[in-house]
Amino acid sequence: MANKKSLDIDPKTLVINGSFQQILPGRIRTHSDSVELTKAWSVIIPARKSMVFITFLKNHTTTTGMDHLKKLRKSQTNKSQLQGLVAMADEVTKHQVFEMLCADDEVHQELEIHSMDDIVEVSVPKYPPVTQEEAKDNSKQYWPVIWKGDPNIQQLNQEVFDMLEISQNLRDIIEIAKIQKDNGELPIVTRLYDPENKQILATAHDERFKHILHHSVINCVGRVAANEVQRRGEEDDDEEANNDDVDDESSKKYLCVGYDVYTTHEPCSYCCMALVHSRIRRLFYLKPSPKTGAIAPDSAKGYCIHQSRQLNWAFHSFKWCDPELLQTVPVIDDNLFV
Amino acid sequence: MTNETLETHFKFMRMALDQAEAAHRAREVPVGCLFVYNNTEVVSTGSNLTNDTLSGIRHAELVGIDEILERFNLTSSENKYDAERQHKIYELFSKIDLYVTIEPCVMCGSALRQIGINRVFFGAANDRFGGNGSIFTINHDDLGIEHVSGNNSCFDKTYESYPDFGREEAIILLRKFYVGQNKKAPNPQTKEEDSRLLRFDQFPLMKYSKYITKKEFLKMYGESNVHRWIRSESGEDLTEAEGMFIENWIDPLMPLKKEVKLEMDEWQRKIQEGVINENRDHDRGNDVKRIKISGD
Ligand SMILES: [Zn+2]
Ligand SMILES: [Zn+2]
Repeated sequence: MANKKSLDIDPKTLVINGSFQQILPGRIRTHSDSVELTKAWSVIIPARKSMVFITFLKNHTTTTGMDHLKKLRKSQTNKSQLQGLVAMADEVTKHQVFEMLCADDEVHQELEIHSMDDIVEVSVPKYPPVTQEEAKDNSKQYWPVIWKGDPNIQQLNQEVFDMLEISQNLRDIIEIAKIQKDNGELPIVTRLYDPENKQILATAHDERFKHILHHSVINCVGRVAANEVQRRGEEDDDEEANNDDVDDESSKKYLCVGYDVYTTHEPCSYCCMALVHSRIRRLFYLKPSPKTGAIAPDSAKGYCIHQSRQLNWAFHSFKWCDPELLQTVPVIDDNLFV
Repeated sequence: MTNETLETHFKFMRMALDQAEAAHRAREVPVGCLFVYNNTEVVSTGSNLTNDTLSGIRHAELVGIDEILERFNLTSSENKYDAERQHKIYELFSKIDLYVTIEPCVMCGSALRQIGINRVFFGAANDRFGGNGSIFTINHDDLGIEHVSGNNSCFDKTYESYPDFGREEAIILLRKFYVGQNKKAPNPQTKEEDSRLLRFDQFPLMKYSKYITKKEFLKMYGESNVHRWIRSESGEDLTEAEGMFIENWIDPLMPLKKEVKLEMDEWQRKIQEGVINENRDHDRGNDVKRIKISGD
């Protein structure tokens, strides 16, 4: 059985059980120690009208990514004024904010919004603070933030990490990669695994010399889909019950929901997005791909496709840290899309 | 490719839209595409097959690429590096343009640069998964990849992606897909955003500068269309209604097919009568669940 004892998580580095590191944008400060900032729209309002503003915000779902920010702060210049946060600037324009505020006569009159000039751009921390000190620092330097404990750690503690299972899967794909290398093929190997039923669903290696786009991740996802098509075909042969409209029977597997992916090298943007489309649960990888990878913040353009808040699916990603095991992974050219 | 005209691009996009329509008839997400060699010869077509294959990654573009590789014998049964074949692939795709009804997603956008596509022309923006400007600019980003000599498997080529070719019709097809016969009574608490799904006569304004530069825009669409660029950039100067939507839903550049327009009128009538409501059965796992190109 899985060992469901509480995890050993380093809150600063996000290294779990001393073995693998969670890859989370905004959390791993590899480039510098500074906090990533983003732009937001704010308005200056009369201090006594704070309730009007809060009600306005409640009635208008403005933008996402604001949960960690306080909605009001004291004006830095005038004691009788407050500064209220309306929306994130990467999602709506200044003009849209203005329109939103003007849509309700009462709101824009009471808040004294007269022109576009009353909407002020501010820099705010893009991500929730990692520690309580950081929360204090951010509030002092940029914009007041809310500290509610670390939601990421709380979420990770819900996950089951069976160390034996994880390291066995990783060791398996390394062994296959070594054989690939000896065969003169690219030593990139991926495995799809069902952690609930402890079942290997597919293990595939890179086959781009057969077909230029057959990366190992794509091959794995394709094989699982093909197996499901076959399984349903056999099922349909058994029972001729035809029910076209209803397809949410629990017996039918949906894409790769609930499955874990193990792979030797950090996947490229093509493969990472394939994993988003397939709705996987977790990704474990061994070697980083600094030029072509699409997971780590310091890989390529820092896409972090697994945690983009604009895409419709997110999954956990973990990079193995134990140098002894990493040394055994065959090296590939940095210029290769994995 | 010097004597190409806007009309040729529209002609090819019309054929891509036909593919999307066929996908719709097959109860697939209606996205269609066309690969054109040297601006003249159609070398393959593709449409979304995610439902039929139970695979979330069988997108139109990948289906079309597979067809080209098969047709020109550019696959092998043996997983062995072949410099000549590799070279042929890049050579071929450097002369191939893609016409696709919806902006390529991040996955397809990346695959297209890995095979070295020449250019992409698309209809509507893909606000949920777009990889050519809407969410990521996978087609433009400089990754500093070196084409290592002696190992051409390290290949990378950025490409331009031109929006707004047959956009209205591409959006209509998607809306048709997500609005279906519903046995349940019309849901009275449809959110404002959802109700936009039911409208066939309103189209959000497209922000061209997310996808191309002004110079590229003028070169592609001509100086005579500069007002479209200005309008798209200066949403602030328009009235609220204008800022959100193009009022006139018949695009002067690429008008809707007559049958499509008639069909739209019919759908519009049915929706008003409450016969049709949004169909949520198809909501899962489909690309571009909701096209809501924000004025941004
Ligand atoms: Zn890949
Ligand atoms: Zn795609």
